[in-house]
Amino acid sequence: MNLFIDILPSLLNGLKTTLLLFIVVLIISIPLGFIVALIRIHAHKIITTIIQFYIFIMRGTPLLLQIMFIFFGLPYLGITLNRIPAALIAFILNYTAYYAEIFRGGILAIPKNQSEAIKVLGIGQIRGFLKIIMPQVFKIVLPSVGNEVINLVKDTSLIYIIGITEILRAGQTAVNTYATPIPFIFVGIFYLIITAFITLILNKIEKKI
Amino acid sequence: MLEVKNISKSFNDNVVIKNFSLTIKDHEIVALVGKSGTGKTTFMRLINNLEKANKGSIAINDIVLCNTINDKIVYAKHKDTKKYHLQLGMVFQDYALFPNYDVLNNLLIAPLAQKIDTKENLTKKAKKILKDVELSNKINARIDTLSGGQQQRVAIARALMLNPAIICFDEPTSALDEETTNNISELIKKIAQDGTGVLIITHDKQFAKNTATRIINSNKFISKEN
Repeated sequence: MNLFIDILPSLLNGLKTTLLLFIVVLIISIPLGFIVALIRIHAHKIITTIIQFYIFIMRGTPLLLQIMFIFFGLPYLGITLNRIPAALIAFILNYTAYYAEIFRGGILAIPKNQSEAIKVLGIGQIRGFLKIIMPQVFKIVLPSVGNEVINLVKDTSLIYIIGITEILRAGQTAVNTYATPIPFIFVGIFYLIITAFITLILNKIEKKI
Repeated sequence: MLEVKNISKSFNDNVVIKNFSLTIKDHEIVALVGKSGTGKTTFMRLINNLEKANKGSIAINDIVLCNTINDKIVYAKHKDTKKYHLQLGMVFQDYALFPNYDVLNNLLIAPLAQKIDTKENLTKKAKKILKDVELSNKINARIDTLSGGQQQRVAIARALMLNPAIICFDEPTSALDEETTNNISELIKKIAQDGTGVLIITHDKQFAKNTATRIINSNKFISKEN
């Protein structure tokens, strides 16, 4: 118990960084993924090909490599970023690609006659998209989006590689300092609490739509 | 009144409809029968502006969707096509209801979007139409809890909400049993009695005989005399 109280401040400090990264990436990459999916479906072939290539790179290489490239690699090309912005950019680029593919699948799963009915009934393309197509897309993609959200929580631990102290690194420091594996268990419990909380919210959303 | 004059449509080199004309007056029920692949659905998609014709003209009650001047087809501007769509109701083969809304809101969404009337008045109207199609007890039901026949009646009610001058049915009997088919036949006759012109696309000749006031075979799509 004493150990827990001793290391709690540093764990909470790490947790703050983990949550910051998680929330910012989530808020930006989900809408961005949706927009990229729409562009990929509707845009000119050249733009579609560029987006396909971007998604191929993001999904085909490890996120860890992408983080390292942006923080350690880009300075050689004259672009130097601080640790947190570098991590944010890498995560947003990576997760946007995944979300874009999920949303694309969702949009393509909507029967064509839905948009035809919208047209024939004179509902208007924008209103029809927002009120009829989008809710159906969200219902289809929610389980896959949920998976990625939970993956994101765990992936945040990768930023230790560029020297940011998030919760896992805080735990590791405590393990080394106190020569006991217990802090790792505390860290695991923190991850489980966050994941349980997200699962709860996702279930609520799923019931609502 | 729907007036289609000298309409032609090809997909690349494949001529599907050539110089076809058709007029449907109020109260009239016209059935287009014929084998699949003869262009029935294409014709209906042309009327619904889901496909563009290569030549000819289409108008309902003098509201023009497209017209051919000096051998060149001209389509109405976006704003005017909205007026055209208001004249036309469509019941899709697989109904195309909106699964994220209940029955009532499936009926309300289009007239509300077009600001035809207040929500209160439209709700009253929806209730009356649902009574006519015998779905009063399903007003707040989710679409996926309804049978095929019920879904079709919701689709008809949704089309009727806009007071169309012409209403189209794409293969209305394809997923129905005999009894439901008879019911839909009676419902279509009642709609025509109330003044709406009806166009039915079907491969079911018996249904066409029982329902329509005029039957046209789709093999006439590529002959010159209609």
